[in-house]
Amino acid sequence: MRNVAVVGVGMSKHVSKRRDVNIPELVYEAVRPCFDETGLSPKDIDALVTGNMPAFEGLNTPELWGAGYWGGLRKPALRITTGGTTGMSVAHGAIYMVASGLYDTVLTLAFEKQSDGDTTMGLNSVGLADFANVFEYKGDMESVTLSFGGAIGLFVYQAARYMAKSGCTIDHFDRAAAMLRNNAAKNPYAHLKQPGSTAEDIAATRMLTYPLRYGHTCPASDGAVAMILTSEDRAGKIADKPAWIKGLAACSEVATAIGEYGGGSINIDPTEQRSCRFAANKAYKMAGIEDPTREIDLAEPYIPFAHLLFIYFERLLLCKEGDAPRLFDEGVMDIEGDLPTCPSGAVMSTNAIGASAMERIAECALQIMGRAGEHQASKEVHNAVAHGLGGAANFNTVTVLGDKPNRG
Amino acid sequence: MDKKEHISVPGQWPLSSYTWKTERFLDKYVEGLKEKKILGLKCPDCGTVYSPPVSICAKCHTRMRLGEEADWIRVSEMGSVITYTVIYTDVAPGGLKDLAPEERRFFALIQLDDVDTHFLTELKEVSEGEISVGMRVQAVWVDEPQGALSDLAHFVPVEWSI
Amino acid sequence: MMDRRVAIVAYAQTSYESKKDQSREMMVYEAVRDLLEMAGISKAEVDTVVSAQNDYLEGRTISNMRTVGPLAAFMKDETKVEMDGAFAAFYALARVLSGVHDIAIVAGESMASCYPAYLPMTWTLDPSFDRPNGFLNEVSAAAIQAGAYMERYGVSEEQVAGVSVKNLGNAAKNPYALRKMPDIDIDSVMGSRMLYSPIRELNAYPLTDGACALLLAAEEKASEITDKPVWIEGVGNCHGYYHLGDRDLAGCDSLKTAAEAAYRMAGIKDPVKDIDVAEVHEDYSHEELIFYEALGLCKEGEGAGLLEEGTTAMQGSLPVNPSGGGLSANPMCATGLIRIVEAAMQLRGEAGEHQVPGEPAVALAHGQNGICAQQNAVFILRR
Repeated sequence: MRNVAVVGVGMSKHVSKRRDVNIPELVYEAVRPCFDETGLSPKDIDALVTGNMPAFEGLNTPELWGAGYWGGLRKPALRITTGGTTGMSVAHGAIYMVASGLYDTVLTLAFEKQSDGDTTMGLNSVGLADFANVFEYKGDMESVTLSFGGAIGLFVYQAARYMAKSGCTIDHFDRAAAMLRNNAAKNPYAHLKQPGSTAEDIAATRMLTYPLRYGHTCPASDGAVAMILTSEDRAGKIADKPAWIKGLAACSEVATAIGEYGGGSINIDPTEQRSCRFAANKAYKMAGIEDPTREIDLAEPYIPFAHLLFIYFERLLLCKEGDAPRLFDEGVMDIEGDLPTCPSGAVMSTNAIGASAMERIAECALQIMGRAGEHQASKEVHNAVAHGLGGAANFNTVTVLGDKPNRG
Repeated sequence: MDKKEHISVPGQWPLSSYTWKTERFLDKYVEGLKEKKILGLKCPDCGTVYSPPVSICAKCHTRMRLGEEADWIRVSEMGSVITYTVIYTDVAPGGLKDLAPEERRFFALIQLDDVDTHFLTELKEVSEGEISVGMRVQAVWVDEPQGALSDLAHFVPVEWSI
Repeated sequence: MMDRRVAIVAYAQTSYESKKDQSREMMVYEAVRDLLEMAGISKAEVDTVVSAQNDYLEGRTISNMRTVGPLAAFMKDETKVEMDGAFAAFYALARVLSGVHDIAIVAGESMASCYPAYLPMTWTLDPSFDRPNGFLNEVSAAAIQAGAYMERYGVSEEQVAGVSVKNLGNAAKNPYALRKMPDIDIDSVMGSRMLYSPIRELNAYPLTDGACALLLAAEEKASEITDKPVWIEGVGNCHGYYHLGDRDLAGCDSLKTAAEAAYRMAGIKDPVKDIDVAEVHEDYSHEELIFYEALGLCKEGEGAGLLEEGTTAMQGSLPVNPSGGGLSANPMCATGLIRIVEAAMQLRGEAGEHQVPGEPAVALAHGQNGICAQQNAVFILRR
């Protein structure tokens, strides 16, 4: 694969309601900094790759309207949408555009303006067809609705099982959440910043669906992210320290909890996440990384709920199965630790759904470039892994970045 | 520039104006429920047993044979809890509503013995102290099944008796 | 130029119907099952799957969550392009060109019988101005374009109807087509119900249920799968202006740009001479005339003349839409992919009764996305 580098990164601030801008204007706030810092302009862009999760805005294919605002007019363009993994699927699209040799410099962006719509309805619209069939066959709709995990959703089902397998407790989740809130407080783009947040603060929040509390959950954000990717021969001219794409992979299995139209699901253990291991393995292999537990310096897994921090740290093969709680206890995942994890504050602090998975790559890129400011990891970041998660815990995407391009 | 005024334009995505078509793979399943039987459908290619059934086996990309008697098997009414949750807070119009301890509901992903899938169902007659991953549970039927998914009312912990 | 050669090595289409009596999942399953059968490979040999589907056509969010099984994408690097299928093929091509993947399934589908007619495109309109104004939907916008084109070049409704006559007549020989009218003539078109003047029912695409799939393979693998690979020699993709008022509606600048890129890549110097057959994605009959001009098949304003000369008829020197095009069947998200498949079939000599004579060697395939073909993708294929 032709080497591809991230040379520009831009993000808007993420807040619950931006009523003063429309979608194209919001996204422009992420795109503008990319052009400013690289000194590039739309005429230098060879292609545009975009995406979001369109349920939240009532707007079908928004880039038709918006691309003109973002420098995409008259360019080759793609729209990619895959739910929670969208941001990374979009980034992968942009990476392939350059890696294919068809284009050299690509602008890619992802966004969500959740305040335009009803987040709960938007999330429920994932399963309406299935729900309708259960109704057709006279399921008990009240209990079916409640079974979807209440205010949290299907991801809650990964929690109790993980606790049973690993021996970790809700206290781990409380402490993980506190760490992420503190990290977010150092991130100028993050949504929920709670500096000084403690595990006790988190534990004092109400329990929503066992074992997850309100303090373990993500917000609904309005926000956008943009990156400029380019080929190896151009990267050095545009950025002093590009962040190189060394490996990428995605893997899809069947939805957990609910089979299509009410059927059973073969994705029996929702914590197993074979698709994550599979994608991680492939991406590490492409990157020439043989032992991720040693060679990965920083990780940005997709963590909308606190318990997922431990699960995905393991499924990204960063430690042995069941070991994540212990490593967390030892401070390995701290910003000052040996394998800082979600120094950005994670999706749990900032969640404009369409943008979130791309922001994992953007955050890794910033860390490699040494531009993460207050939430820059203490150690030098040579290789980082970014992860996206979506669907009903059945879509996993992985991207490995490094400070040097692949050779040979 | 401080914008003190902005325009909001209301709109809708009317999901009720869509229809979704399905194969009738649940027909036979609910017929079984009417007789207080849980049926599973076996993939003719790889043998994976689905309960409730599906129309396509994702593992081997095979169409399930809804009309083939031999592919429908009666499965056990007992199974294990793969994972669970307890609903403490109800999502109601106007926000979240805390449920009193006796109002809390238990939901679980259950894998029935003989079956290669899990499904989501309610657990009753169980307490937060007792519920656990791996717990054995058994099906409870409504008194007069109608041939509906709700005939299989919920699951309860298995009573062991020696 | 491309480092790696990529070919279309297999394809499949479902029949196109106004109301299929099956689930979307089964429809897509059948297309992919037929595809793998034609290719003679197992799903294990597939590296990646790119589908084209749209949440607003499906009435479900993350519409590809439920197509993992049917698309043979289980445990695969699977992704979704929320555009016309030609763009999914474009993305899949890039995936294979990168060297990371060798074999890709591309599939597109939708069921018009399941969504409210024409509204999903209305929902692409800018919600702060265009939508509340209520003037525009995809048909009225097309009517505005038709009027602009016809007025600029003095083209009559009867001349535009000639496209419908050609395409729907061709479709009569296409076993998959939804709308086949072997006896169609200008009067039938002119006598059909008026939608938005000057667009009549037979000037517009039919609401369609259907799915289409094709298999891309890198050179080394292509020859293992088929002895008639259809090589992708050039591609172009262009995202045009959104506002109708920003465009010259009497033409299609975005298609012109996409075509020029594809021609350059494929070494096409004189499209009318160098291309033997074309499948273009016309939703409305006037679009095809505009597309002739944008593709450089004739000078601006002379599209009707090209049609009347018979150049683009089945027996002409550059048959366009021997399959019947979008006027014969338009399952949104699949339509552009169908054009690629039909073009490949022509090059392989497998188009049966609607095969163009003369053993065509070079084909053009086109897909559009957005209102009034705001975005266009062009493929040049060679056997």
